[in-house]
Amino acid sequence: MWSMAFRNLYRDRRRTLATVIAVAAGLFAVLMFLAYIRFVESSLAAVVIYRDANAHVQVYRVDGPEQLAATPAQYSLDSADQALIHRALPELPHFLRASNQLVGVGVVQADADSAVFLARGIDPEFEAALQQHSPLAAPPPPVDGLLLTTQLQDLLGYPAQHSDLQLFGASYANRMNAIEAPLVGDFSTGIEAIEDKGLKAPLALLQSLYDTDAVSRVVVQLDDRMHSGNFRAQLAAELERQAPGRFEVTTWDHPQIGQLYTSFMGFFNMVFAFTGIVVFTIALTTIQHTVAMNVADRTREIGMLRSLGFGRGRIAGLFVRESLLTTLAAALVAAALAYAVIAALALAGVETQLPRIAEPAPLALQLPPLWAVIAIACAGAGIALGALLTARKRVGGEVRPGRRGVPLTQLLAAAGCLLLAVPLLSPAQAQTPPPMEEVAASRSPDEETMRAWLKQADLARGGWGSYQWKLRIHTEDPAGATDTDYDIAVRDGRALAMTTAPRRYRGEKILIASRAMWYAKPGLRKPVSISPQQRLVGEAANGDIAATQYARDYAPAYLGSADLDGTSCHKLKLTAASDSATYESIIYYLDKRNRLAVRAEFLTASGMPLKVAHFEYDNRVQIDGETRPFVSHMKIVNANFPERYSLLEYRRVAPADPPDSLFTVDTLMTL
Amino acid sequence: MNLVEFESVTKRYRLGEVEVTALDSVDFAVRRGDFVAITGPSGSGKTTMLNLIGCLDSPTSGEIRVAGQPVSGLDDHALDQLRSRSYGIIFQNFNLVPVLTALENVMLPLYLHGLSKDERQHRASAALAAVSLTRFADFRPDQMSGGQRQRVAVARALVTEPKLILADEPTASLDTASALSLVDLMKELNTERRVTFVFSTHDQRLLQHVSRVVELRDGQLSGDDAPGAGVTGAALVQTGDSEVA
Ligand SMILES: Nc1ncnc2c1ncn2[C@@H]1O[C@H](COP(=O)(O)OP(=O)(O)O)[C@@H](O)[C@H]1O
Ligand SMILES: [Mg+2]
Repeated sequence: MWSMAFRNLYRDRRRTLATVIAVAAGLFAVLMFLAYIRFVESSLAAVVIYRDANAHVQVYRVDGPEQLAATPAQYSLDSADQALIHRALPELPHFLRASNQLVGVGVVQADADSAVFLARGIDPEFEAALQQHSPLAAPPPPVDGLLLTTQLQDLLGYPAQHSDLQLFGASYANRMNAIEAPLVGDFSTGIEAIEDKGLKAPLALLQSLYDTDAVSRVVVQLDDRMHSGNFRAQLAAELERQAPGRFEVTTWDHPQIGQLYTSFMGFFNMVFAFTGIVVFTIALTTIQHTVAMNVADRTREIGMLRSLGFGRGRIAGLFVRESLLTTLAAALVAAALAYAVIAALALAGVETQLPRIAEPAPLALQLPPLWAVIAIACAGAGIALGALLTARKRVGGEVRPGRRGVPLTQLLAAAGCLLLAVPLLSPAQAQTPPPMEEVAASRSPDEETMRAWLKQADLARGGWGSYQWKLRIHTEDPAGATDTDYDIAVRDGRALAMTTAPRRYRGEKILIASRAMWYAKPGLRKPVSISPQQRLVGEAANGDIAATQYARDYAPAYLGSADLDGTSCHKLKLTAASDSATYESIIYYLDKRNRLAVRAEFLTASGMPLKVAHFEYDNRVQIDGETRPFVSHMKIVNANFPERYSLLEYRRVAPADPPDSLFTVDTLMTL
Repeated sequence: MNLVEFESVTKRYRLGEVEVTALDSVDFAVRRGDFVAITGPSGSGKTTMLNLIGCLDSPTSGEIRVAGQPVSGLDDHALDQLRSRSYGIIFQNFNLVPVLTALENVMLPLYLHGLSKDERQHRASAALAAVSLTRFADFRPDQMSGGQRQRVAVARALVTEPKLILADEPTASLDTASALSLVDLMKELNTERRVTFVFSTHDQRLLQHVSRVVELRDGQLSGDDAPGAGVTGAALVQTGDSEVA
């Protein structure tokens, strides 16, 4: 029967050739696309595993992958955790090496320019060893300085190599801190979205910035990425046994870690499935058409075979054999062509832009024979089935009504349309209604009046005039509580805070002078300027809120009356009126009796509350011979995490006359 | 008992609005060893009748029995088996597979008999020898004359050693000499190997070589000179029972 099928194909050379070409073109497209997918897959995997230095397996505190960015201190691994993990690792098969890593944010500064950074603290030795396995070239890891992405260097005005940069951030105990380190080179994060923030530093350096010996995670390199899943399971089981519920083990393709990989592979696989279905449908239709034509041409032969006692199935089998031979020939042609093109592309050294990867990569397509064989076998099986159905139907002559299903091609086409429709439909659901604007009350006081109120309220917080006092800030955070004491001096809206306790932090200073904020500590060459974004976090936010001159930075609008715990208040909406305003808007409550601020809600641009402050006024000061209330307690609560708050206690408030020179940046370091 | 029996068999074809009665209440029987020619003008129902005998088609009404078994009770597979084991069929247009050699064409029916390739080749060669075509074993149909091709078709019908060979106008595409020699060959096989033949023809010259002539006219049997001394289909029944059931 095979030789008969073969001879039939040979006899109908032209038709066979046309069919072979059509099917081969389809299969060639599938193979090339498969090779491209494999290339993209392995490139993305390499970026995630090697260049992004996630290695193969990662150990976090439970929920670390999701929570580290928001609360690094609480979800980090302390030294006991680290020791436990590093003891467990070498016991497991396929282990190669492991290393601690720390991630963190802050502001980097070079002379006049500053920019937000997203840093990874790494062990240079580990990373050098890891990079040796990478198919993508990467610059050597930093040993005694910082690597910044070109984009970040651009934001900083291209500081000279080996010049000192200042990193500024909030320590794990939520204190301000800054360090200096030289710029030693550049690198790429491999991810466009964060490419303008990328900073890489030796682990120890970053640990000193965040004033901690904790790390964010331990990364583990294996001898082959295919063992990642197994290794993860074994390690998770072992860690769970030793410290139940404490650790979370992930692999490089975890959505939070290999985000780039998972999102793009999801997308690519879908595109591939769709393309595959389309090509397959075309190939199948071609084959079915050919079979139908062959059957029609050979009705007499079929009748004869039937009269000899050949069953329908057997005769259909002959046509299926012919289609299989055709497909096989097409597959050989397609595979040969695909390998030739791949080799040619490799020889020509073609480069391509990979999705979301900053620089072009050499187009090294790979098509493992097994994959090609599987793809062809799948296509062949589908085509054979389609040919069989067609042949059986045609050879049968009589078509029995009621037994005709939907043709396979129609089914496949429908499935293809569905697949195509999914990504087109889904974004439509993601739309949310725009936030409602608050409507201003009708009988509002005029702006002049409101500004006077604001100024009066600022006055009671030291916003205007010259004073000094002692300030204690108690900060509560799930990671721990801290107490810090400061000496404060203010003069006409400028404030200087000097840390007095704990001893370790003595000599640290924060200067808030009109629109700028500066931080200085012994050991730094010069003060660090704190950008508006940076004022949103940690201690800086407290200083920012405490020292804000609402009357100057915000424009008021009246929202009516409000009742706060039995106190009747004016409710104002303050909208940012200057660049130095940290918040987009503030809802401000003034006690109607004395026009003192009792509550302020700080909102983001999208109207989400960020912080809420409560004020109490138990202090008294003499101003212009008049005894006036002055702020005694301020509670600043994180609106999204109420368990995180700071208590500011004002003591020994007294009018003073600090010299102007105290509030200049130039003298900040010499104090 | 007979090899094949027709009991008031009627076959109608629908052609759109029109209904054509191709066979009209035909009673008929083929006995073992018969050498029957079905004759009649074109359109009289010869092909229809042969198709019904060969179970290639089913009647509109009436009953057809093969070896005493009603054919209407058999499924597709049983019919395939019956055709493969008991019948040999020869067509007017030879209907050889163009891509196969004479030998391979003759081997084709044996394919369904589960024989080894050697055995198939051996038997096919013997069948080709019986029709004096040994020399042409490796020729493809398009390399042979019409008479030779039809002899290949006869060999193919013979090779399974069927009880009954059906031939629809086997000589229609042949010149007179070839036609006569084909009928001689069939007659010889009939007498020497006791193969039962039923064939149709409208060629009057051939009829004198035939022992029994059945005449059709407008789908009705208008004459059957069946000699009384027919052998019963006992042989077919014995083997046929198991095959047909
Ligand atoms: N498949 C068919 N469909 C419709 N009518 C048919 C079919 N086969 C035969 N006929 C009609 O049945 C009658 C008998 O045809 P047939 O048996 O082929 O006669 P013969 O072989 O004697 O020429 C004719 O009128 C013919 O037109
Ligand atoms: Mg006819």
